[in-house]
Amino acid sequence: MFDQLFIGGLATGCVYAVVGLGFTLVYRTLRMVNFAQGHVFMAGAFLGLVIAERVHLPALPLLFVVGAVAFALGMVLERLVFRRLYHNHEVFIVGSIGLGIVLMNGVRVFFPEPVPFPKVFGSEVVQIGAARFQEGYLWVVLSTLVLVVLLHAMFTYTRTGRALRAVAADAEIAATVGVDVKRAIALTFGLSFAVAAIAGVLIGPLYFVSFDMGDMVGLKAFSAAVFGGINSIPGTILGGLVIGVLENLAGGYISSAYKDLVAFVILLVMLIWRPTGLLGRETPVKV
Amino acid sequence: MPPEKALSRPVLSTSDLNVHYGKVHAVQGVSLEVRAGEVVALLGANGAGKSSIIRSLVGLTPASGGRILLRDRRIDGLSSEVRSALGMAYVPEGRRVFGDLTVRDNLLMGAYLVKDRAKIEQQLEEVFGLFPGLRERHRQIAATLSGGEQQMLAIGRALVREPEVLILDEPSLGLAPVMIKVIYETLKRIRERGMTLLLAEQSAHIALKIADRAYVLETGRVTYESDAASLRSDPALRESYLGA
Ligand SMILES: Nc1ncnc2c1ncn2[C@@H]1O[C@H](COP(=O)(O)OP(=O)(O)O)[C@@H](O)[C@H]1O
Ligand SMILES: [Mg+2]
Repeated sequence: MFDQLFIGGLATGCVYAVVGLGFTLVYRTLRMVNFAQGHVFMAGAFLGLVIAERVHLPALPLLFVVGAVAFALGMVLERLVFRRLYHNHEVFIVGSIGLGIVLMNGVRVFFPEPVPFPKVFGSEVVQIGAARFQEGYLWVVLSTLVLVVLLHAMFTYTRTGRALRAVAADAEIAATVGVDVKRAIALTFGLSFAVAAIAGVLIGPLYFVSFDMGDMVGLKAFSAAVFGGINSIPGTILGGLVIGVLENLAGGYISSAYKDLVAFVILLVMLIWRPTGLLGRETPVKV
Repeated sequence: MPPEKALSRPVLSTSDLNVHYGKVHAVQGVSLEVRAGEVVALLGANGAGKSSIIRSLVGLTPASGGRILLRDRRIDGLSSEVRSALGMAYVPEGRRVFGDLTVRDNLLMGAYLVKDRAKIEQQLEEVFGLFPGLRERHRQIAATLSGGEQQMLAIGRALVREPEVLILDEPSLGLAPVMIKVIYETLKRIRERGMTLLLAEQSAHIALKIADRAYVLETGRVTYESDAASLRSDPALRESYLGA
């Protein structure tokens, strides 16, 4: 039973981690929280659904195409919406919540009811130790691993990745060494949309997809980010995994009624006890 | 001042530069000139407007009036990244290294606009030659460096691109006297290589050690301008304009 709960929790934890990464990427750069993040995850799931139903893409190309489309969408929405909201954090929060509602209701028009997702990751049951689970879980965990490694490599070893980190550290000074900061911010939104949308495709086949699936996942991914330190990528990943595993264990051993409580108890405890998160650092206030 | 410097064309100049912060008129019609190979000091007490001038030169604070020329090209109105591409390099007040990045990554950011990898490595070697301490620490996270090392890194980051003009805002601020000495020794070497420097400092006696010319600022206006030698040698002048 423990193995089963642990692996199930690890898989949902991966999803929280990846969606949470979107919060972290944007926060590191703008010191602002994009509350549309969960709904981008939802939109990604539906984007995957629509594509998978029309063209029968294998899993990997599907993930890639959804990631690419979401990336482009993130860049476009940055230009059309987010760029107008940066000047003020409150405006940004309300604006991003509004954008989330627009995304959610936009999808609702076409999909008012929960729908099953095509089994793009195969439907075989895998056995590891005492745990039996669908192949899809393995995809979630492996894809997350690959995604995290790719992101890390991009940030560490590429010129663009370095520039994105420099903008996150000090946007003004980055501009004075020649970085196009507006473009860097747009790229950051593109990346945060891409990872969230990929997470949507990964989770889709394991559950039904519905227009409101982004609410809870968004809040839990946010908790994951706060838990680990919202400006820390490793922290957010750790936070996602911890929340995913703990809530699944709580759901299994105590009662599934309390499952959702876990993430928010963790969030509250963290906000009170250590607002910078487990691996986060205080970021100096920008003048 | 060596005569060839007097004859050389200005690399950077402003005419009637103004900066406003709301109603605060922080820079009031400042005209200055930095010629090729020259070290120009911008002197003045805290709040005199040094940083405002420098920030408007590099494009971080908009000028509310006047012009800025780099060579013969008008650059006010251009963004910071374009000015940087045109050859301006900036060492900000308070150093502002990219704290999460390693020393090496900070320097690579300075060379962000250089595309040729061999050239970049060669320029890094030059900087490590000037600041051997940075070479030893090239893998260290910049935030963990001491203040003096961060200042070296900020200067190195500005130099890697071989700029046309190097603009420094109070490089001695908050540093121990020994460290200030090290920094200024290096600036001297940089000057000897023919680099053009604009240097803002509160401590006139430090800046005048390497400056060819100086502008003295008071509440946003240039109140005195001369070659550095006369300011150095004339205590009465120093007394009346710099209070030191
Ligand atoms: N961002 C700002 N907003 C409002 N006033 C400012 C700002 N920056 C500087 N000032 C004011 O402009 C004047 C010049 O400041 P500054 O250029 O920083 O001088 P310095 O660098 O010589 O110390 C000061 O009176 C300062 O209070
Ligand atoms: Mg200043």
